[in-house]
Formats: sequence, C-alpha cells, structure tokens
Amino acid sequence: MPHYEFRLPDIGEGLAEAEVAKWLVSVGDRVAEDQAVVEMMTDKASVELPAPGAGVVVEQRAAEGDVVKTGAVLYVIDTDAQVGVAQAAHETSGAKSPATVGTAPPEAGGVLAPPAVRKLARELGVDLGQVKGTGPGGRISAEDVQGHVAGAARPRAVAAEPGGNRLRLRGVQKRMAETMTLSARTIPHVTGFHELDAAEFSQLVTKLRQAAQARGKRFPFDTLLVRAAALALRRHPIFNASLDEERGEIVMHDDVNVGVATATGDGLIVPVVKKADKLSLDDLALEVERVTAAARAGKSALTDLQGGTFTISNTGAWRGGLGTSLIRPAELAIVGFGQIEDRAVVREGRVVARPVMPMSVTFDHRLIDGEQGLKFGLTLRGLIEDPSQLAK
Amino acid sequence: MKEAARAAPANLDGVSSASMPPLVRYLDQDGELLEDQPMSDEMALEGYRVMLRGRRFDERCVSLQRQGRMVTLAPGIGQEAATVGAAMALDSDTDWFVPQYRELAGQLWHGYPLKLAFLWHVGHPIAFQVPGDLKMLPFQAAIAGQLPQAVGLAWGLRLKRDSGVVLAVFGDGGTSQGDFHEAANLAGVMKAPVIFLCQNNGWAISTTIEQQTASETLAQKAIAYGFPGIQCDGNDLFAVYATVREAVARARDGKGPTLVEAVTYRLGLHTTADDPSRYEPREMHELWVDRDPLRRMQRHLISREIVDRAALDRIEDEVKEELRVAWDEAQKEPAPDPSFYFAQVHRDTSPRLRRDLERFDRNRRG
Repeated sequence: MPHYEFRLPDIGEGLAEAEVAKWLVSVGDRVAEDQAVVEMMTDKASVELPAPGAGVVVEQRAAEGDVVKTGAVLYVIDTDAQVGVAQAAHETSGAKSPATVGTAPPEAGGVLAPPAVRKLARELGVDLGQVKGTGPGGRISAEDVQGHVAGAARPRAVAAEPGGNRLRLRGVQKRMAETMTLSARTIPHVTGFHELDAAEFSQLVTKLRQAAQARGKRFPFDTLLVRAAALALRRHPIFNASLDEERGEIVMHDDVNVGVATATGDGLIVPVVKKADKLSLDDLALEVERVTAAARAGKSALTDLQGGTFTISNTGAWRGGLGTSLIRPAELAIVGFGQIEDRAVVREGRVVARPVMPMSVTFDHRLIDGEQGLKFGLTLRGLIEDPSQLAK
Repeated sequence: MKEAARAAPANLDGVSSASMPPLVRYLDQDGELLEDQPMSDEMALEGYRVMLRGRRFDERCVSLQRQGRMVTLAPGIGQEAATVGAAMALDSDTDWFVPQYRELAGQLWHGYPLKLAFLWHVGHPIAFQVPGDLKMLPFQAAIAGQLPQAVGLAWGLRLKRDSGVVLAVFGDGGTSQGDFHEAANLAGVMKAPVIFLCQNNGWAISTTIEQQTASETLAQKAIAYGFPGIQCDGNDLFAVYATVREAVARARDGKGPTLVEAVTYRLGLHTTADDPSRYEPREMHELWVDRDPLRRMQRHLISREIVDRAALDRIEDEVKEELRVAWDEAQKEPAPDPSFYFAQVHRDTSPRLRRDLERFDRNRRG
C-alpha cells in the first residue's frame, strides 16, 4: 500500500505549532477512516486528528510532549485511500513544493510574506529578498526573519539575541514551570523541620528488601515512606484535602492518593499511588515500583499522573539533606525526606552516633495552622522512628 | 392622541416588560405530538432526511478539517430542526434564503447542492457563486452583516410586486449587533416581507445568552420595532415550520416582518478553532443531548409508524453514500488558478493589482 505522510494541518486559525498530547494508536495499529489517531494540544484547544483513510500507522514522527510545526510530518500511514487529490484550493496548483522554493532567492519585492512579517522586517532593517522562507510556497515567517538576523535559522531555537542557546520551554519542563509558578505565587508555604532517628527504619527496609529479593521482587525504599504518609494522612485528614478556590470550599478526599516526586531526564514528574492506605505492603511495593519506573522511562499513563491528594519527595538517593518543597496545587501539603546519615546526637545525656533522616513538612497555611502542621510531623516521626506499624 | 398618564409611576419595575406568548411546541422531548402534525407524513420524513444530511455533512467536515483537508468551519450540529423547519415553510421558487454560516441543513432543503457545500469548506470560490435560479445569498461571516441586505432584498421584492419573501438567518450574538437593529427598524418601517430567524443556540462562541442580553427573550426585541416577535422550540421541526409558515403568510400578505426566535442549542463546536470543553458545563451539554432534534424526530417517526428502525438505518446508509459521492465530485473540481482572485476585486483591474498579479506570475514561474 502507498505511504501517506500525515502532516500537522492548521487545525486552528493561523496555527504555527501544536504539542502532541497523546497518541491514541500505536505504530502497527490498523485504523479506520476518520478514526482518531493523535490528540494535539494548541494554545486554544485540544483536538483529535482523525485518519484520512483506512490503513496501518507505520511510523510516528513525534513523541508525546513534542511541539510540532504546522506542515511537519506527524505520522506515516499505509493506505489505499485517495488522499489529498484536491488539496484546499488556496494551495496553488502550479506552485513549487516548499522544499524547492527558496533555494533560488526570490526576486526582491516579489517575496511571499504577510504584512506583520513585512513590518517586522522593516523594523529590523531586513531585506526580505535575502530571507529564506520556510512556509508553504516559500512564505516567510517572523521566525525566518529573526533567524536571518541571527545569522542562522535553527528549528526550535529562537536566536533573537546574541550569545547563549535559547530553547523553547515545552513538555514536562513547561508543565513543571507552570505548576511551580502557580504554587509559589498562590500558596503561603510554611515548613517545619524534623530530624528522625532512622535506625529501626533502616533495618526494617533492609529486611523487607532482602525478603523481596529472595522472591525475585523489588522493594523500593519509598514504599515505607508512602505507607507512613498514608497512615499519617488517615489520622490528619486536613492534610489529605484540597482547596477549591473558585467555590470557596475545602474538599476532604475519601481516597489517599500519594504522589511520589520522581526526577526524570525531562524534569520533575509526580506519579501517584492510588489508595495507598488500602494496599497491602506487597501491593504497595509493586505499585510504587510500577509508577516510578514508568515515570523515569517517560511512559506514564495519564491516569497515573492524576488524582494525587498529597506528595512525598525523597532526595535521599541523591544524598539530599534538609530542604523545603513546593506544594502541588491544589494539594495542601508535601513532605520531603533526605539521606539517612550517622549524626552525633544526645541520648540519655551522652553523645552517640545514630542514623538520622532529615524530614521537612511543608503545608498550606491558608488551611493548616502551625499546631496542625507540627502534630502531623510528629505523627510521621512516630511512625518512622518506631516503624512496627508500617510493616503490618 | 394617546391618553396621558397623570404622573410618572413611583415604581418603574415592570413598566416596560411585555409578556411573551409561550414557546411554540408541537413535539415534546420524547417525540410525542402535543398538537396535530402540521405537515404530511411524507414531508416530515423528507425533513428528517435533510436534517440527517446536514448532521452527517457537518460531522464529516469536522473530520476532514482535522486532517488538514478543509479550512475552518462552523458546524450546525444540534440545530438542524431550526434551519430545516424554517426552510420548509418557504416556497423555494419565489422565496429567498439569506444565511449567516451555521444553517447548512436548511440551505440543503432550499436547494444548495452538497458538492458546493463541500467546496465552500475547502475555500473554493465557485461555492460562493450561487448557482442558477437558486434564490440564496452567499455565506456571510461578519455577524448580522447580511441582515440589512436581506431587508433591502425584501423591500425590493415588495417594490417590484414580487410575491417572494426573505428568510434571514442569524444567531443570538447577532442581536447585539448594530446591523440587526438597523435592519429590524427599516424592515418595520417599510413593512419589508422578511422573516428574521434568530437561532438562539445559547452561545456566542463562549458568551452565554445571559451575558449577551438583559432582555428576557430575544423575540421581544421585535416589539421595539413594531412587529411581532415569537419564540418557538428550535429543536422541534414542526414548531419551527408552523411558526415560520405563519410569518411567511404575514409577509406575503403585505403585513411586514416577523422575528422568530428558535430556541435551540449548539451541540458541536463554535468553529473548528474552538474547544467548548473549556467553557461549556458538562451537565448543560448532556441536558441538550437529550433534546437532540434528530432523536426527537426518530422517536416520532417510529411511534407514528411512518417508518421503522430498518428504514431509518436505510436512510442513514443513503445519506452516507450521497455524502461520499458529493465529496468525490468536489475533489474532482479543478483548483482555481490564483489569478482568479485578482480578477474578482474590481471591474477594471487597478494598476496596483495588475502589478501584483504580474509579480505573482513571475514568482510562480520561479
């Protein structure tokens, strides 16, 4: 069957680019005509793009989170359908393909550029006749003009100012930027610090991990931290709530869904362990392993990233010490854990070396006061210093 | 002279409110007849078929637009009864249909060919050349911009002693435009034979009707201009037909314009560049899905035993095939040479346009 390259159409009005939100079919999947293949996110809308004919998707040219320019190939489909016989009439029949137009410099004054771009060129003192257009029919865009000024037009890099490599903020990074900005701007954060004696906790983790390994299973360190948080949340339900600012209501959540902040190559992702308080320890370990491994591999299902009611952030594996965290809106609190290290502490009047784990409890002071924050911290502390309840 | 009141009322509340007659309805939500069916069974079935044709056309076009094979379009999904019902009340030999851009189903009834409808959405200029004897103006994107022209057309028919009337279609947002008020005022004064059909679909893009107007109804805006305004259930083919039929009779009788507010709902997108999930409450949408005019007609056609399920399935297949054929034919239409556009602006091409055209030709040759 012939290959058909499906190019990102202008699905809005004058759309320049869109982000791949979700692939709805995989490579090798058979699709029907008009069946949705991929969901794209523009500034205005999230839109499903249907297949132009029945066939098999043989290649995806962009990953979820990628920003794709209008006109770029999104995927390739093997199809017998007669697609694109009559293109939209505004595409000129005699025009050269975009790939060849522009290799020969168009004659001065005879360039294809919209008025806004002509104005930009005038302001920058650029002769449009010298600019290579990358749009349909060799049309010149504002980016082409800016790229020309910078001396090199590189895709996705806007080189408007000399020096430095400017990268477009996108995907996971962009969402991290938006979420954290919202958090810092809207939530009055208060943080309390605790130093936990982690001797028994460490021993318990080691024991459970060895037991799991004997059965060929993994036991992530965070399992017991999630468990401790889940038990503490049950006792302090305000920490498992969220604020609906629009309606001026506090939402007390029935489920305890603990997010586990996970560093990935692309940025911070917080996969969620659902109903963490109801899972058996074995199931909890499995679930923590599943969601964090998927996040690190960049393969999280959307449902695994939604529905969180509370977050833990453990930086121990990277030798993190005491630190504060930003709350994920619309959650009300987050707990950070650092590396367990031997510290000189006083026990019964004597200075002794004990393994100590730093912990920070950060909460939203709009709804949680200092006393509640402290009590929640002390509950967590009790559960971790005497971890007998965690292994049940 | 009018009798004078003694003094200004102490409380002005309620002084200017005119009570509207109740909404005209023939078919309830479950497709049960509340009045006698105002048309024959054959006509009802044909009306249903055209409504379905409009629905499937819009759905197909949204898909084609998402594939990059069509330009931006405004589907009329959910509003088929309002536009087809009104068109059915016209005599297509004498009466004019003046559209905005969301009444394709009604235009199909009036005689606009499916192939041209497809070509409109790929931006082909022949779709704007209304064919032959078809009494229709082209699509109009500027909101309510067609209304003064519709009144001029109607007034002209009256001056020529032509028996034709004009159906001018627009939306709820259009009633806030100056053009609507100027057109309504002139139509009232001149007793122009025009029916203003306002498709109140609840949304002007994302603006709700409550944000649009402080009037209790849109129909009552006619009172200020001295002609009748009436609301009908826009998702009830019979109600729209019967109401517009009365308005057409009035207009033909020399009694002037009528404003008909068809209360309906936009079940689809404002345009393909719009995402209603960002502003439309889910419950609102579901409420109106239950009032879908197509489903209402299906229930009625079956309960009155005009057709059975199998016949409805057959009509569905036939409509699908008509659309396939029309789209195939539309695709065979040669793309216009871009020089076409230069030729349509002035009678005599201006020196500047001629220069542009020459430059364009040189660039094309490379």
